[in-house]
Amino acid sequence: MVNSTEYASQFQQEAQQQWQRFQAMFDAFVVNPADPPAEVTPYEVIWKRGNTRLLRYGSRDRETLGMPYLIVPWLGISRTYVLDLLPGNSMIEYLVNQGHDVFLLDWGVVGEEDRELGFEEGVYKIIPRAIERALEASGASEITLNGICLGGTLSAAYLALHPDAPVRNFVAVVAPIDFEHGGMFRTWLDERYFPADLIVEHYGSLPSVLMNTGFKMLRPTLEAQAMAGLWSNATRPGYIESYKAMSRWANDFVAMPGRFFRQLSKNLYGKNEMIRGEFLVNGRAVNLSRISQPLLVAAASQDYIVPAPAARSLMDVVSSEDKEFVELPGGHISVFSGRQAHQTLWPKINEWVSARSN
Amino acid sequence: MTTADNGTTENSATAFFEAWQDMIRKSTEAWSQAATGFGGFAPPNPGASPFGASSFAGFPFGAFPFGFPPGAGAPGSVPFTPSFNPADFMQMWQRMFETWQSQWMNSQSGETQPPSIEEAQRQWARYLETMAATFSEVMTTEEFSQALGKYMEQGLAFQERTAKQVNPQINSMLRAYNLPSRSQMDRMFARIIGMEEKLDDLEDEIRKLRSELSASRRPQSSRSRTARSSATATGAAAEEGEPA
Repeated sequence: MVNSTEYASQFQQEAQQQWQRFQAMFDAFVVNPADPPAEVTPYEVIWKRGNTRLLRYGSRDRETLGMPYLIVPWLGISRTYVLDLLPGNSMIEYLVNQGHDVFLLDWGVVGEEDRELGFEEGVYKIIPRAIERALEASGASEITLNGICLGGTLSAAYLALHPDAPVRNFVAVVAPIDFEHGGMFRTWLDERYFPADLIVEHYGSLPSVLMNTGFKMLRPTLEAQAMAGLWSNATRPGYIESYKAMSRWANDFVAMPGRFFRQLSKNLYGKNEMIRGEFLVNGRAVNLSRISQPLLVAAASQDYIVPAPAARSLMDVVSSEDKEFVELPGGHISVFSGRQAHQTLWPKINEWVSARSN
Repeated sequence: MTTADNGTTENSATAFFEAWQDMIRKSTEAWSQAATGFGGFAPPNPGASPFGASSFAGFPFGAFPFGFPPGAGAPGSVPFTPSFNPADFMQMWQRMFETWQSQWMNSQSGETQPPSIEEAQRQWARYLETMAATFSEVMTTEEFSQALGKYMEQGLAFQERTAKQVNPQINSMLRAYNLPSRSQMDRMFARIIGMEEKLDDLEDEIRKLRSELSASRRPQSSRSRTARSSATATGAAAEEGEPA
């Protein structure tokens, strides 16, 4: 039983805490409502085609480890600045500071004109050209290729169809390969019910509005949970700034090209052709066993978009002798851009790649 | 903050939850009956009725006041699949609430009322977790996938019909103002991308020839793998460079 003095003291303490939270929230959202700037690491554009750009990070005259590190992120869905979100909370900044010569293939904001952009163009035109330009820019002869999410699927298809590609190492982060384990999207995109063709015919792409709805439906309580977390942690240094940056990114969806979406929903989620070696790109089957580069596969233990088994399956189908799988704490995004990534994924990538870059 | 024994807390929580569940169930039943009364989500073809006024079934989400011209068909009509039973949704939500209730009660067993605001926040977080788990359980069912697919089909059908009626008028208006239509802009963008592709090919050819030429002039030279400054040629080629 709590006596009245203790109760009054507790009440005062809690009232004070709530007032401090209110002040922090008022300051961050009313007095200074601007979002923190995104894309914190300086970059230059090496190559541009349509909306796609190849970016090179860091100053031109700095010393690097030598081998370019090319990041191929997801195509469509959301913006890539989550990889370079805030000072001290940026995968790109971390890798640059570790001496890597970092390049990013930024697909940009997909527009109507990209409706025919699919695996064919990505695997046979854009990724090879990006690699070529990265090699020329750095003066190196081989690169490390890092595919993230669907960028990992695209990169895997590229490597399987170009076994002689100048790629020394392959890092696949939360990249779906076995779509049988594709989580809720696997159920929703069931080709018996989901009108993928109608969507593409009508819109030419999967519009950002539908993308937004789809991802919000995956976890309908996420916003409420985020708000509850925000209130609880409002007085923690840096928390609100991080929340604002992540919240802006999480609502900044972009469309997915119609052709790519059709292949993804029908051939990959629908028929799971990638893992079976039945997925055709320009008439050629994607045979993942032709991947022989040293391979690092990273999955997230709380990932409900690409559950760990969907990413892990790449390990079983490649012919690489040097391969490693890590399952790290975090969700689909937080595993590579969350606060804990500084202690988990980024050092792992740095250590693994550095050991294989000489 | 008042204190209460476990029994009281659980009983009041159960009573509250049941009342709320009952309210949702009744409103969903009423909604289902109303929807069924209008013929479900997929409306009949109102072609015979120019304003579709025989019912408000012309629009999947309620009344569509403008109707469709004779013979235009309506959203949800051919070639799309026939209507689905709104009772499916009813059953789905009922299942969701039942699951949620049991999960919530399990998570609450043995707990007292929150002694502090902090604890209340933690309970709220757990409450959201159980809700998320329930949503997840329901939304991974085949029934949900089926309902979602049909809902999207019908929404798209409606948009398609609307676009077919509205687009010619928009296009004629754009022509009158000497402005390009969306499809014309799309074609132009496609051509620009094609030209960029050809320029890339030409640039590749030039680079290849240049490197062959320099190799033939200086056969002993080799490129550094480490210094970024060795890549000035490429840097110069990045005409479109834009520092952040």
